[in-house]
Parts: sequence; C-alpha cells; structure tokens
Amino acid sequence: MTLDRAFRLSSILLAATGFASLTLAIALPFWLLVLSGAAFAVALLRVNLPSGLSGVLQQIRLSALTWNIFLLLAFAGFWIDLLLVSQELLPAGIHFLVLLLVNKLSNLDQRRDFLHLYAISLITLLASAALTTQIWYAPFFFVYLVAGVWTLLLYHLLQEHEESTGHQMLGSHAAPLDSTLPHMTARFFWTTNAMAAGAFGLTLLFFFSIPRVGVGLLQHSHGESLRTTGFSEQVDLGVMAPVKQDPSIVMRVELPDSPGTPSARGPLYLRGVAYNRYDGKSWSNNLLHRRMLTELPQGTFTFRTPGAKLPPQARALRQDILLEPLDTAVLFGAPLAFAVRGDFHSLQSDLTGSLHLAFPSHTRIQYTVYSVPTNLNPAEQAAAALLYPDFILQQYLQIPSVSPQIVDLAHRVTQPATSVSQAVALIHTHLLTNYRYNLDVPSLQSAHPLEDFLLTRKTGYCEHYATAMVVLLRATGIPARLVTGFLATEWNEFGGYYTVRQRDAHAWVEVYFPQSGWITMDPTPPAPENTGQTWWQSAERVTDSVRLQWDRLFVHFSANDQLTVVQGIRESGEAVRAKLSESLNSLSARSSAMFRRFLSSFTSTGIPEIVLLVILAIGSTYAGRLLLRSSRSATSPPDALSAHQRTVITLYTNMLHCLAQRGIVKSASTTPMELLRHVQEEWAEAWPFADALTQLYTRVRFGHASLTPEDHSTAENLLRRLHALERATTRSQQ
Amino acid sequence: MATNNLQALFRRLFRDRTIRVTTEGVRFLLLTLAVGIAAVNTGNNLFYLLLAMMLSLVVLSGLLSEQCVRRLDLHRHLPDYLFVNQMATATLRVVNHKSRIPSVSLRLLDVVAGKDLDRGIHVSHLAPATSTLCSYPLLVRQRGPYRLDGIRIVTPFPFGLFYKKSFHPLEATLIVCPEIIPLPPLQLLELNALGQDFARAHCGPGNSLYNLREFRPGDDSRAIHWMTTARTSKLMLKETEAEERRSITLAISTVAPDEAEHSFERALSIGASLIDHFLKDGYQVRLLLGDQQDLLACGTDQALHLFHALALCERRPMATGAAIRHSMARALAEVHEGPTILLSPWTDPARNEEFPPVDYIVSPQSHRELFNDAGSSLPA
Repeated sequence: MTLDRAFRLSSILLAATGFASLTLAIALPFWLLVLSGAAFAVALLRVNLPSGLSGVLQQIRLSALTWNIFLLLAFAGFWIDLLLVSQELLPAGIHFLVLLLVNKLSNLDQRRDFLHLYAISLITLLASAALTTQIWYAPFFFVYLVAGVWTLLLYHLLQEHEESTGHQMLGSHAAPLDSTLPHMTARFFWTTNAMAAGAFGLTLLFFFSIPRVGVGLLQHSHGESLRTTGFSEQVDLGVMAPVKQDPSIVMRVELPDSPGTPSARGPLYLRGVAYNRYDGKSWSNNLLHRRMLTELPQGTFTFRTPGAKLPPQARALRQDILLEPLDTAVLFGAPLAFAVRGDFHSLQSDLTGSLHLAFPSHTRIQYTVYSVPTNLNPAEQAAAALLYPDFILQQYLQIPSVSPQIVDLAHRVTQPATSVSQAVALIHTHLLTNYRYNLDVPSLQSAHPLEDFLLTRKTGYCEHYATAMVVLLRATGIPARLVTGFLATEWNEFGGYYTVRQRDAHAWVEVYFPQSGWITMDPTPPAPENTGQTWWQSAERVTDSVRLQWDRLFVHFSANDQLTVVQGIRESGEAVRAKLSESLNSLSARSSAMFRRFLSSFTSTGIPEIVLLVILAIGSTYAGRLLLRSSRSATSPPDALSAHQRTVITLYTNMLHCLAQRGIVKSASTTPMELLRHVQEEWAEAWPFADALTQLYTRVRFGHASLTPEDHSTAENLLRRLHALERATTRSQQ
Repeated sequence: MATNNLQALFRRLFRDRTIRVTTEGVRFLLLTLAVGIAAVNTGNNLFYLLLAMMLSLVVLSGLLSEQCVRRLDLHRHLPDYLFVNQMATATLRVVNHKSRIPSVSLRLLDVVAGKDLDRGIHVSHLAPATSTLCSYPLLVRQRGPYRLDGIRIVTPFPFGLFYKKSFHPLEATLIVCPEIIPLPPLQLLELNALGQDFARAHCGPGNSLYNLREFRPGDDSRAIHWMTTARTSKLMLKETEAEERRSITLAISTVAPDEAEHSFERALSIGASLIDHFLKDGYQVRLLLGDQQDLLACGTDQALHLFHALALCERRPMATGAAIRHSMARALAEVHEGPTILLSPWTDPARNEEFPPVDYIVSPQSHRELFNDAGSSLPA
C-alpha cells in the first residue's frame, strides 16, 4: 500500500471514528445518517477503487459552486432547526456539523480540505464527550488517537515527499496512487503503532496529572436520572413490585476494608429511608425535621458533635459507593452510618437516621459511608420487658385500624415468648415459614393489602413481609419501623464490589431496643433465584467491572484523587528513603569495618596507613580515567572506513618508512604538512610524490572522504615512484 | 571545569536548539487551548482526556524531533576557491551515530552571517549508524571572504507541527574571486595581437629552429642535428624556439571614490577574466594591484594566488591615491617584459600622465561595454 492511500484511509477512519461516537451519543435524524453514510462510502470508494472507476467517480463530482450552495443551505437549515425544529442549540449545531463533515468528505482534494476534516472530526469527538460518559467512548477515543497519530504522520511525510520531489499528490483530482509513491513497510507500520502507543501512554500521564481546577462556568448535567420508587415521603404498599424486574444499575458498592467473598460476609443492607406511620395502605414518615450534619476536614460529615470520639475504625464498615443519578436526594449506606465522606456542599439527616442531599444529583456521585453494625445487647436479649422512651412509644407504636384478627395473630404467635427478643424472633420465624414469596400480587388495587397478605393470600414480597412484621410487633407493644433501601446480593468477583440494581430494592424492619438501638431484621424469605451462572452473566460482570473502573478513573477522576495519589507517592517515597538510608547505613558500617580490617592487616606488616590511602586514591583515579576513556571510546563513532581508504592510510605509512630511510623522520608532533615542508627542503625531487600522497591521506584521515578506485591506484603509483626515486638516489650516492 | 560543562549544557539546551511553530502547529495549539478552556469550564473529564491527547501529541513531537537531530555529525567539503556568480559544488557528509534510531525529514541549512540559507538539502531518511553524502550548489554574489558559520539541521518530524532546529558550528571561510566574464572576441583578438608584438623568442619546446650549438653532456640525444654534425664533424644540437612563454603585465588601480564602487568591482572582474584568458593562452602574467607587491603566475595552476589577491583586494580612498599611483608607476617602469595593460576603475584626467605609458588602458567606459556584452549580474 502506498503512503498516499494509507493517508487517505486513515483520514477517513479518523472522521468516521468521530462521527460514530457522535452517533452513539445523540440520536441523529435518519436522513442525516444516510447522507453521512453515503459520503463515507463515496470517500472510501475513491480511495479503493481501481484507477478507471476512480476516474469515473472523479468525473461525476459536483462543482465547487454546488457545494457552496449546499453549505449555504445547510447554514440556513441550522437556523431553521434552531428556531423551529429542535429549538436547541446543541442538536442544531450537531446537525450542521455533520453536514459540514459530509461536505468535506465529498471534497477531499486540497491539503486544507484534509485539515478541515481533522478539525471537524475533533469537534465531533468533543461533542460526543460533552454528551456522554459511557464506557463505549473509551474504544472510540483510543481508535481516534491511533488514527490521529497515523494521519498526522502520513500528512507530514507526504508533504515532505512533495517538497523534496516537487510532485504534488494532494490538490490534483487525479490522485496518483501508483507505484512511484513511497510504500508502507512492515517496519514503518510497527514504528507508527509504537508511536501511537507512546502517545497513548503520554495521554494517560497528562490526564492524571493535569490539575483539576473546576471553574465550572458551563457545567451541565449528563443524561437523565433513574426513576426510583420507595424513597419518597409516602410510599404505597406494593409500589416496589414493578421495579423488582428492573435490571438497571443503581449503584456499586466496594468494601475496601473487608476483603473476602460475600458468602462470608452475607448480604449487605443499604439503608435508604425509614417510615414510622402506616395508614393501612401506605407508609409515611412524619419525623420530617432534618438537621445538617457536622462537616469535618476533608469533606467528612458526621452525626456527632465536633470533638466527640468516632467509633473505633476496626469496627466500622467502610463502603465506597458510586451512585447513579437518581430522582431522589436520599443517600444509601449500611446501617447504622455515623460518618459520610464525599464531595457534597451539605448533608442532612432526619430523625429516623436517613441521609439526604440538599437536592437530587443529576450526575454520578461517589461517596464513602462509615457504618457500625448494631447487635443486640445480651442483657436485653433475656429481658422480659423493656422500658422505652416516650418519644419512641409515641412514634413507633402506631397501628392503623387493622382487623382484630391481625392483633390476635400477633398475640398468638408471641404467646410462647419469655422475653422481648424472643417475641421478635417468633414473629420473624412465623413470617419466614408460613408465607410464600411472590411478586405477582395486586396490592395497589386491594383495600386491605395487609389483611390480604396475612390472612387470606399468604403470598407477597418484601413490603408485605416488612409491613406485617412491623404491625405484628407494634401490636404486641414492641416499637418497630419499616425501612426501604437495597439489598445487595450480586457480587462482582472481577471488580470486587456489589452491583446494586433496581430489582434489588428492598424493605425490611428495624426493631428498637433501648440499650442496643435499632436492630435490623428481615422477615422476607429469599427470592427464588436462577441456579448456575451463564457465561454471559460472567461477561456482563466483567464489562460492569471495566465500566466501574472507567467511571472511577476517568469520568470521576477529581482533584481529591490527585491529592490521594500525591500523598501515596510521598508516603511510599518516604518509606523507600527510610529503607534506603537504613540499608546504606548498614552497608557503610559493614564496609568501613572491612576497610579497617584490611588496613590493619597491612599496617601490621609495616606499611603505613597514609601510604596505603595514597595508593588507593591513585588507583581509584586511574580506574576512573580508564572507565571514562572506555565509555568515550564506546560512544565514539564507528570507524567506517572503506577498503580504499584503509589502503591509502597504509600507503602513507609506507611512504613514511621510505622517507625515514632517506633520513626524513616524522616525529609524533609533526603534522603531515610540516613533514611535507621538510621533504621539500631535504629531498625536493620526492616532494611532488609525497605531496600528492599526503593530499590523499589527509582527505581520508581528516576529511573522511570516500575515495575512488582511481585514487587508490594513483596512491599506489605515487608510492612506487617514490620508492624508485629512493633507490635511484641511493645508487647514485654509492 | 564544572562551569564549562554547565555553560556547554546551557548552550546545548537553549542556544543550539530552537523551536518554531508551523502554521498547522499554530492551529493545533489554538484547538488545544480551546479544548483546555472547555475542560476547565465544564470540569468534564472526557474533555480533559482530549486535552491530554493533544498535549501528548505536542510532547511526542518534541521528543521524536529531538531524537531526529541528536547525535548527528556533519563534515563539509568546500571548493578551494570560488568565483562570483559561478556555480561550485559543496558536499556535506551527514553521519548518524545513533545505533538504533534513524533520523527522518532533515533539512540542512547553511548558516552564513547568522542567517539560514536553504540550499535545498533534504535527507528524507538516514538509517542508524550510516552516513549520507549531499552535494549542493554554491553560488555567491559578492567578492571577498565568504564566511560560513555552520549548519542548521531542521526537522518538522513527526507531525509537522513544529520545526526543531539544531545548530552545528562548522566554521569555514571561502575566498570568493571576482566574476569571470566572457570577453568579447574582438577585444581578445586585439589584446592577443598586443601580446604577439611583444613575443620574445627563447629556447624551449617547440617546432621552429632557435639555435644550433655544440652537444653537451646531459643534452637530449634525440635533438642532435645530424646534417650539421656531418658538416662540422662535431655533435651539434638543434634548439627549438619556445613561443608560449609570453609575458603580460596587468595593472589595476585600487584607488576609486565611493561612487565608483561598482566600477571598481567591474575592473576587478575584468582583471580576473583577463588573467584567466592569458594564463590559459600560455602567458606569464604579472599582476600589479595598487601598491601591493606584484604577483607573478605562469600556467593555470598558479592562477590561484592572483585570483585570491583580486578577491581580497580593497578599494582605497582618494586620500591615498597619490602614493599608490606613485608606487604603481614605479612598478610599471620596472617592467621590461611583455605588454602592459592598465585597468582603471575611475577616470581621472590627470592620472594617466603620472603612469609611464602603458600599452593598453581599459577605461571605465569600456567596462560598461564589456559587461553589457557579457551579460554579467554586476551593474554596468
């Protein structure tokens, strides 16, 4: 393949990558897609078709005037689109951009057309980056980078070729794709790819090191928020059923301080909102008063007052949560959270311990929750009766006007209990064993959904179980509340995190014990699951893991992450320095001891220490010089003299011998020219031969001139004649 | 020592390397700036990713272009002398000492008096540990010493966004002799006839008989004139007449006012052309250049020092005119061999009388005619 063809192909690939990423980011009108596809197809055909057909395509190309009219129409279309059709700047601008791309693809003649095409392709990729944060952007970006390196390099090389040969390849309609152009070799192919790899490495380096200074003048939200249910102020019983089939990912939860598989850890409850009032059909929370959480340094918010001690870190469960944009301001975390760290302006908490942002976030947010799991106090475990605070009794013992049968059921179930905790356990067991999990329950249409569940149908899902347990507990005088959130069960072994989906939405119960606090209890039996893992589920988890890394490392990379990296480097640098200093100290102590022993062995034989030191100093200086010289000789240019050149040097040496026999000896400090002058004075007849031979020698020795075979034979003749002259002179002297 | 090393490093970093942005590079940098502003304003990390890509291309350009220009050795071979407006060939040997990395897209520029002169030397690809020989024409428009400071290597590799320039000091001074113009045949005939009148017969290789004398040891036996030998009973030798050793003296006055600068240059150019002509024609040429010591040349091999004298000759002010004219007059008076030609760059009615009579005067007016006929680039 010629470089010209490769250049045209890489240019089209560059534009196609930008266009494809834009197409994925925004829904383009069908006619625009067809038009762009046709433009790409024609551009490709022009490059790849045989010269004859390519010539035909060249013939049917439209004139510049036609394209100018097309551009004017496209510009008019932009205004119509902006003012009448889409009535938004971004879609109208993108449509116009695609029309510009079509125009340039159809007119790739001049050098500037290619430059315009590159600029347009960059803007399409930029627009795509503005519209999406999805993982698919990554491969497009990578392809764009590689194609960009190829294109820029080929553009430059062809320009160089044009300048050096004067043969214009771009700018003529009949682009020469013949064999006279430089061809691409395997070495060139791999070198260019290595350059692209280098550019990619540098890109990552720059990306992570450019300081994130979020001025944020033009910040806007990305995409749409996910619709959730069950986290508003009032929740109807049965509202969760529709979302129990929804596989959309809501969040991902990492437990960095708790390595291990989920089987060892058990399911993770991510608490959202708690409700204290049930009216027979829906739950609500009347404890709406919220307070701002105290902000500690480094963006940590805590429930405690400043100065109060935090729970020991060893007991705390740390969760790093990446929350998708939701339509609720609730923050999720394992019960019971005592601190939250994240890039928030403020954080609020209501009286049920739920966490709220000031307003729903329209972008993904990343935060860390520290929770302390609550366990039942052993003293309370055996207590037959508990003394509850008035506030708890007022808020968490409310029961709607339910059927007396339910109250009767509660008493019947708890009759054998000898303690409060046992009563709770009996109700929990009763619900787990006597009812069946089923999502196909029309609770929203029912006038008495709880009675239907407990007394009639005996099938339901988490909301029914949790509501039933709260009502049964309250009926027996035990304070309890309903909690909604997510139950994380899907462990991604590739990424080491929980994937939480809409279908993981869950409701459970918190039971109050005066000393232990709110204890989490889940009366819902596990939902029937599909056994076995298919390969696509594994693949999906791998993809999701990659997506999470993409989000973590690229989409949500922030100044805090940079600070963390810098801190990490500093800490590891200090550790390395300490280790190195320790090793050096030990090495120096060992070597000085050895040196002392060495010296003492000599001084005992009578050689003074000072003499030894001087000898060592001289020896090391000499060794250093030798090393320096050897390194210089290693870096000196290779002696690439040709055979003719070497012969001339040998002939010159022979001439020196000949002159020496005549009594003209060249000392080391005599230059060739000085020697010549000496010859002229001492042996004038030999001067012409010596002069000519010296000229040849100096050209080779100092000028590295390449000699011809004629020069070689001339030098031989000169030496022969010099020898003859030397013999004749010797004979005449005799 | 350390200071010298530091200075060398500083020079290497900042003086020997310069960068110039190309037109495409300016556009690229403007786009990078725009993406950077967008990234900072929106805080969008994907914009930062694009910005990083563009910055990486800029840095990659710098790194690769540096690899292209480093560890290159240059050796230049220049002609011994050069004439104004006469093309000469210089050669440049470029050696790549890098063991693995080639040098690509090199342009080699001559640096003359601090200015870069593009001679059109392109080295598209120089493989590792190889060398290449580039020949390029040298054309100089002005007489005198022509100083070359060095060679500047320029590469726009790899993306054509920047020109990385590296300077290699390679100092050389060329002596540029005055322009040799083709003299009109009629005038040459006239001058040749002038020389012919003064031709003095003397012994030497030739065909005409010069003398018959007695044979002496060491004489060439092939030159024995057998008829005379038979007649005189002594070995007689025939000597032939050598007519090629004709002499001519060329005197060029170096005194001229400022306004006669062009005329002075023309006189030197005509002088050089005459020297070239007469030497090729076998004359022995004596050059009297102002008050300088007269120079003698016989044969084209010895022409160089005459041309060098003309190349380095400087116009003398009018104040020194009398002394120079006196010196020239004295030198001309001592000439007894061959005709004398005076090249006068400036017409001074009183001057001719001070010189002993010369055989031929090339006046400023005739300079113009000669130059018009020759079509030289020097203003007539």
